[in-house]
Amino acid sequence: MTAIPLEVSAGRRVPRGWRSVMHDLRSRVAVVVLILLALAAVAGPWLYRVDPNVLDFAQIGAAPGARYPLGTDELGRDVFSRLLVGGRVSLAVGLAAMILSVTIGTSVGVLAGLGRRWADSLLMRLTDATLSIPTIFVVISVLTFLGPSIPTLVIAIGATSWMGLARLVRGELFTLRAQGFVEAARALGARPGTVLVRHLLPHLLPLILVNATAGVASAILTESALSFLGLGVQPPAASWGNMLSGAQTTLFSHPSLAVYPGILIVLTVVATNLFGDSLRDAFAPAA
Amino acid sequence: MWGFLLRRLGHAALVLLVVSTVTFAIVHAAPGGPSLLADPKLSVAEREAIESRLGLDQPIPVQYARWLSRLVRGDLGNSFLFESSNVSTIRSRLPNTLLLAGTALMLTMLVAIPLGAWSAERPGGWIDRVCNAFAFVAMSVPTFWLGIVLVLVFAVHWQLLPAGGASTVGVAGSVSDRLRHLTLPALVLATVGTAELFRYTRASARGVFGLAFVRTARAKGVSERGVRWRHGMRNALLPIVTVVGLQLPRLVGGAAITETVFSWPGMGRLGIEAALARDYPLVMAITLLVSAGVLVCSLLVDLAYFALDPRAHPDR
Amino acid sequence: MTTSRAAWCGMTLGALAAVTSLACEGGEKSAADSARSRRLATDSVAGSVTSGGVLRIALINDPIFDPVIAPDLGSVMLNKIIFPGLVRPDEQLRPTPDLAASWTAADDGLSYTFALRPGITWHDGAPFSARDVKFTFDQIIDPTSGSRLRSDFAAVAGTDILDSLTVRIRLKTPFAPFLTLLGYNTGILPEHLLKGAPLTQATDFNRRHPVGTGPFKVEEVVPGASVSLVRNPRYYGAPPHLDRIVFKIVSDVNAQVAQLRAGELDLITVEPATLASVHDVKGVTLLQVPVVQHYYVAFNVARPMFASPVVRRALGMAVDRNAIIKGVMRGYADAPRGTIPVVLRAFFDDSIAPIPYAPDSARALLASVGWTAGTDGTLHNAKGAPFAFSLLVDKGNPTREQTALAVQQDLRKIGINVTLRTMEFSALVRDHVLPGKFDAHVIWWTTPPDPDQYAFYHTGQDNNNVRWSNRTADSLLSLGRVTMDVAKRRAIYRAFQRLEMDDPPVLVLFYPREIQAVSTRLHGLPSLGIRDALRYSERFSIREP
Repeated sequence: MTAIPLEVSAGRRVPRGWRSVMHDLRSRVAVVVLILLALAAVAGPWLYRVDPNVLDFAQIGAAPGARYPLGTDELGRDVFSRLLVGGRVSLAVGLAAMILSVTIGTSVGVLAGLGRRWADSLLMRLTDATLSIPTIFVVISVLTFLGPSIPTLVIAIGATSWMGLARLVRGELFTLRAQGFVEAARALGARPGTVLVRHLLPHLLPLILVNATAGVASAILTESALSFLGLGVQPPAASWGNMLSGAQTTLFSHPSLAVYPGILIVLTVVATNLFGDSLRDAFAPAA
Repeated sequence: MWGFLLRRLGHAALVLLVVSTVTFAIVHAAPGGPSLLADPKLSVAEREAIESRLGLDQPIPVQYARWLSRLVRGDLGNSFLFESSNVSTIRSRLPNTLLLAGTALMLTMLVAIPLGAWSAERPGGWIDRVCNAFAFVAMSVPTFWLGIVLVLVFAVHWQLLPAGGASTVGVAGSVSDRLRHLTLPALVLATVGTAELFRYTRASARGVFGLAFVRTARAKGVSERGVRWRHGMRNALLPIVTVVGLQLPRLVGGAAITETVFSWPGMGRLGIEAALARDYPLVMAITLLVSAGVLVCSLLVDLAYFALDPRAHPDR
Repeated sequence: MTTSRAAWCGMTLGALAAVTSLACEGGEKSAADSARSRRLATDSVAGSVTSGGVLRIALINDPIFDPVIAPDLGSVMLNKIIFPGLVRPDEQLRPTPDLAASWTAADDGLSYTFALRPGITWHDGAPFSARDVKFTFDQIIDPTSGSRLRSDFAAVAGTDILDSLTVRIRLKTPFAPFLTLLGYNTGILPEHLLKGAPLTQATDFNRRHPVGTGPFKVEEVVPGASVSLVRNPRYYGAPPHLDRIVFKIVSDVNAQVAQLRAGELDLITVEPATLASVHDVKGVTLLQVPVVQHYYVAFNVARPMFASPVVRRALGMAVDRNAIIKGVMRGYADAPRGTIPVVLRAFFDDSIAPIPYAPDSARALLASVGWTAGTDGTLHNAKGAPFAFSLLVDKGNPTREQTALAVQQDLRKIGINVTLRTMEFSALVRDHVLPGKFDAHVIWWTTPPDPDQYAFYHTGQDNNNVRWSNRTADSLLSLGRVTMDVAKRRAIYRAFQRLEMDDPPVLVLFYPREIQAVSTRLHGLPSLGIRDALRYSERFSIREP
């Protein structure tokens, strides 16, 4: 995919392409944060080998100290260890669910936007059908029928969040078709595949990328919302989401238990969105 | 045009049928069973009596056929949990959801669209920076968390606003009381939507402002304002319409999390209760209603596309 | 936004009361906090009590206003107020007169004759009579009515009306728990409104406009939001002090705590896990009441590994119940003996030595029946199969989840591998407990205040989900339920408890205490579990400090 030299309105010239992503201070900070979080998630539990599931009734709600760097939770489990292990789970769920959702959404959107009328009709009805079953039912049903494990969680979240992207991709493709991009390219003799990749994808990419980064963010948030309802990652396994919702009961006595997972969730989501923004700025086509 | 509408109605009916079949199958196949029967103290005879009264001792296809035949006669069935007709149960909760989600949607549109357009106009300006930062944070906080924090601060600590419910008992019909109860949940519900819509508006408006025909309009001497609104916004509105269209179903389906945190008697909480208690008739009734609502919204979105950009006619 | 269609005078009165109490709530915040964990004495000084006020109680779900068909706790709470029964339990859980002024039992124990209090009227003004009692009991024993009380009253043969205020209930066999059960969940229903159609179809009655004889009647039901009860001026007992009791439907327990702290609720029950959020709130005091419950780990006695009583006793010795009581229940529970809870003072035998916490003895006992430790510490039998099983627990309840975790940890220390599986309560019951498809699960029984546990632990009974079978226990349980003499019953149930130490049907973990977080404005609350306490709602009063 070639980098198309374009100018942007309002007179600010920004370099194009992947290199431009790192020119922005925001995105640099975001990327650093994301890398740190990923490192902590991957290597953390391996380096800090404290069992996150051991109950210690004598040490319930202990303050941070030598033995427990961030204290213990309402059952006497080491908070730091649970944060590390929980990070693995939350980030993995977020990433996997997003990949699933973006794959389905883009495919459906492209097929509907570029295909024949019957294909569009069929796919849009499929989209509508999936949108119309209340998400909560699908999720609850999937999770209770298949058992709330991490794979089913990923499927449940991924299979219920692709519809927005599909509609947006389809909508964008309609606009592009209307503006004559497709016909122009075809008139020039390009094959359908080339049309798609060289001419349409650059317009779709910002949409997909923003949606993908938003998708990771939203998947992490959805997992915590499901934990609030009791359907997320099941205790005693830790995830930031269920640590956050579990901290509700000790909200007034040990508010710090809610602060740690909360901050980490917000940090991850903000960093992801910042990164997505800078990606979109780098590739935004303006005619 | 009429052909298009008729075809869509036909499609909608088909979709509803498929959705209801799939939902029926999933909910009945899920482990557990109605919470009515989840009492370990029930004797075998009592259990069987309940099952036969509710028709649960029949095989699932038979139950489905029965449900379908009652549906065709306009009977949406009786809820297990509430022992009363589903229509009346839903009818008592729907206005609350409409109120909450409608208020949130209005707030969202009133705040996000103008701010988004303004920001797109002056990227890098201080409004742009502040709104962007705010939108980021708003999108990154789990909704239930935001709700709990607001309850903590405004209801428990400062005792300015109520901690839950839709109205105070005994103070019936007071508008100010209703507004007080509506404030926090509507704020929470509107937050994420506003942030999303703001960013999409900004992104699509920015994209559009550079488009060829905007420059053409400028070159033709159309005033800046005219350019912005007539040519820019109309096309920038397309993704906005989509995003708003995606938030419309909440008007019917409710927002489960917010309603739980604020004990708001709406459709979202009703849906969760029904699903968790395996209240099969109520689950099916809510599914149908929400599905129908979504299909209507989807149709409205497509019509809006057509109105804004006749070249994007969905039937082409 | 529909406004309620209650009578206008009731509305004005209610609005006045609400406004007054709302105004008074502002002053509550400045109430001096006290270390008042005292018991609130039952009210008796009617003259000096301020009249009026609104009490707000939390409710988890929309209730069904029919004590015969409604099973859930929320409905039970409301029905206790609206539908009194023939008797109600006093603070020692003994039956005292309520709708029935007095009663006599036949010498053979096969019939009870009740003299009803005269002058009682239903909330709609119709007179209360023996016909209503007969109607209610006919519905209770009718297999097609949807009654949830049928198995409790399986011994009832029929009801006879002797005259308009005298009714006789005939039993098939002598049934010692009968009077206690009458005061448990058995509210009396109005015949003139409900006859002729199945109870389950009386939708308007069940959801919106029930009619009872209690001290408060339903004024307004806002579905999903609240149920408000207003004082019944024609109540037959002591005149109620409160103007209104409002049940607010708050399904999330943490939201209940938030509303309590914000001063929007006056009474909620809490689990030990949420104690930390309520113990330091100004204007709220914590009360604890022992309840007739026993929490236990059920082992499937039909499975070979749990068949031997020695094994089950050893498992009991391996679990540190006192640590669970301190750690999980934060001390709000009593140490157990057998399945009869300590609150049944007349029958509980505290002279019995409990199953001690002795992991070494547990290992020795298990070794004596062939479970020896391998090199990695896990127990194996002679064939090399490890002692491993899955422990099921319902999810969403911190107490039970934490208890299960503690049990798992304790058993791991003596070499038994326990896998925890959480699932929804209905799945646990329907798919595992009832068909007997489980190794072990954590659960509890709430029983009427009577030691009769025939249905739960007699061979072959419907509720004997653990499939326990002990011939001696069978004869003890059968005898205990038909013996009317209290001293003889005591001896029988003490023998039963002693037997349970040697052949435990289940691993009893603790007898929980109900924890009530109550506003200090409320007076007159008896020292009973919330269900029974609400039977005395006419004694409640709100006193601004």
